[in-house]
Amino acid sequence: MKKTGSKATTVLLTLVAIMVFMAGCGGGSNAGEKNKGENKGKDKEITLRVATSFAGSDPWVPAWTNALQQFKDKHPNVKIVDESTPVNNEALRTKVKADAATGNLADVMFYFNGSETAILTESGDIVSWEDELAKDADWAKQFNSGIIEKVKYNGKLYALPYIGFYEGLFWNKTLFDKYQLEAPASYDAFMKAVDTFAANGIIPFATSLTTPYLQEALVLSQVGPEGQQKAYDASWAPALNIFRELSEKKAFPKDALTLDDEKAQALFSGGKAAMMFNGSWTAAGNSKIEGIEILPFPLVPGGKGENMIVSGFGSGWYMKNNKDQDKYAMSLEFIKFITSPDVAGKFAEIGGTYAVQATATNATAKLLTDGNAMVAAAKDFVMPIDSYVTRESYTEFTKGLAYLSGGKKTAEEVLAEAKKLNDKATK
Amino acid sequence: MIFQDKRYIVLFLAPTMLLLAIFLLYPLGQSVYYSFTDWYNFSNTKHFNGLANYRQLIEDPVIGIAFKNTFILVAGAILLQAGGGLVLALLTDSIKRGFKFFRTVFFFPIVISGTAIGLMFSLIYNYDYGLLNALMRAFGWGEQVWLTEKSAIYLVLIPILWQYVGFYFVIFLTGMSKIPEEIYESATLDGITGYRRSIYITIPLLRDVIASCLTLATAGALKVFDVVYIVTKGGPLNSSELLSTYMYTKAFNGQNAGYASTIVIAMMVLGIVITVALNRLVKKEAAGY
Repeated sequence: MKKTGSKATTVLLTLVAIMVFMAGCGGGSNAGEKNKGENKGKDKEITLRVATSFAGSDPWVPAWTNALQQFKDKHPNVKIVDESTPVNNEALRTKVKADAATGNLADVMFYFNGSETAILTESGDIVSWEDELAKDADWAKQFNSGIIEKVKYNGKLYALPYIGFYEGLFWNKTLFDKYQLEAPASYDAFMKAVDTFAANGIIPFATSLTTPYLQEALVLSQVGPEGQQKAYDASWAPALNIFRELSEKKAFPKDALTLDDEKAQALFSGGKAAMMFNGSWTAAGNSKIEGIEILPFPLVPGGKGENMIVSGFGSGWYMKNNKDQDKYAMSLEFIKFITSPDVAGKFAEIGGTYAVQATATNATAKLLTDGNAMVAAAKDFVMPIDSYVTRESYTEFTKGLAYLSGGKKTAEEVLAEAKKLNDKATK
Repeated sequence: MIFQDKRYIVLFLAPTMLLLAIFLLYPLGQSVYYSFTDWYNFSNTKHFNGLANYRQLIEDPVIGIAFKNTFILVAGAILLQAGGGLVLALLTDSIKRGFKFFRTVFFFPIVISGTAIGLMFSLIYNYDYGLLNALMRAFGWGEQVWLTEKSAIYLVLIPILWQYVGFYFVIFLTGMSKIPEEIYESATLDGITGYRRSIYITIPLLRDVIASCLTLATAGALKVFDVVYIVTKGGPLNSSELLSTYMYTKAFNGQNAGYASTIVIAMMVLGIVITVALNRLVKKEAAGY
């Protein structure tokens, strides 16, 4: 009898412990429900969780911070929890994917589209914008309809396009003039500049061998837009061999294998390097430096991608389909506010091309205007390779190029390894 | 005697057991399960793929590098962290002045976060504006790239070892303070002084403490991540990759959580094997006093 009693007590005590623990966990939820009831009405306090890439060293952080403050001033009953996370090291991707998998998506997100949209739509929690755009024609007409068509996923618009990006060859005209070099508009001029700068102790090309930009440019220039869509095709090999040739010509910083992108950018903006291939997000910083100009990457010998650029609207505004109507309405109002011409104008001052009307200001720097002109003059555009391949294969591809530059792997081996990983994940 | 009634034992252990079950055993079980799946992008969809991840683990050349580097780190931790801590403790224990000063100085790096130490050392090794190349320039020698394929793992070892040597130093000092003074007095009467006192009396009597320190150093070495990730990110060319950094790269950069879970299982098995082997090796003949 005693033994049975002891066992029963043990079970009982364990159950009590579990219940105490569960009660502790559930406390917040009950309190929340209580508050929800108390605050019903016009002045209901609303908490909006927003997750964007405007964090860390992102150039649009000041515009974002100001916009948040303006919105909070306009809506004192709204509490904004800014969960913005830098895109570096895939931090934002990991956060949003983990949120999606656990059913904990933020109310408003500025996040990648393309293959990433698929993951968000799996959650079934994302608003498709057609209805909202139809309800508010004035708001809808602010968006460039051509761009909207391009960013649809399975025929539906989940990510409202906003800031577009481009990648271009930034070059320091002051250094080119000093060594009497032509602008790197042609492959020969580019290679001559590499040789001249390397011979004179100036880093010809600021890049980290852990970043993807130069190889993006080389592949597009070599195989053109159609070829670029064939993931890790053997036809990319000549472009990768140019990468290796540049490494052998000592075109890159000596520590390019361990350098990160920010330090590579600092080498260029500090005048220690003559050229850099990077995205429009670096244009704002470089626009403050005298003599920095921008061009599309030159056509490589036998290439098919003349005057074509990697550009597009790789991110957009997503909204969670909140059951709470007040929260839904406030999320929508927030997105309408942030995509309004005035706010977009403030973002545009920093750089990028825009899918919405943006109030023009006189503050747009020459380099930014030149960047937009380069986009306007381009024959064709493609999205970056990583927008349609798996992350794992792309990470290996980028790492493989470091092996290639050191002569440890051939271009064919790098492509085959990346293709194998891509095929495995997409089979 | 108070706890003869098992109900109280269960009562007091239940919260810990519950937390352990939720935050340790359940995730561990899940990791084992994930290691048999192809799970990409942290999505809600994953498929059982048998031993495919384990086959990939065996064929992956980076895993070989990571294993080798992990062993270098474990050896470094045992010899230089635990061993260095023991030597410093023996030296400090025998001095008459400045004991507290040395104790503070040696222990100090422990309180600095690994991230801060990593950033500091990445600045030291930086080619363009790093301390080492500044010294090279000052002496009129040529600058050089410090973090190369051959040197990277040894250079990231320096901050890791430097950070934790003080931890073992304090443990050994505490162990030494427990050795009765009478033993040393008897030894002095027998003419045993200086380093012989350390070798024949202190070290044998610290055997249990040494065993604990070796286990801690090994477990600590297997967990190293922050400093390596900040200084080299496992590069260049995967040369300083550890199982932990490679697992992170696969999980969060490659978004392949299935394979990353397989690496976690490999790390766990390695940790258990090394720890059990070390414990058997050191705890053979525990000395008492």
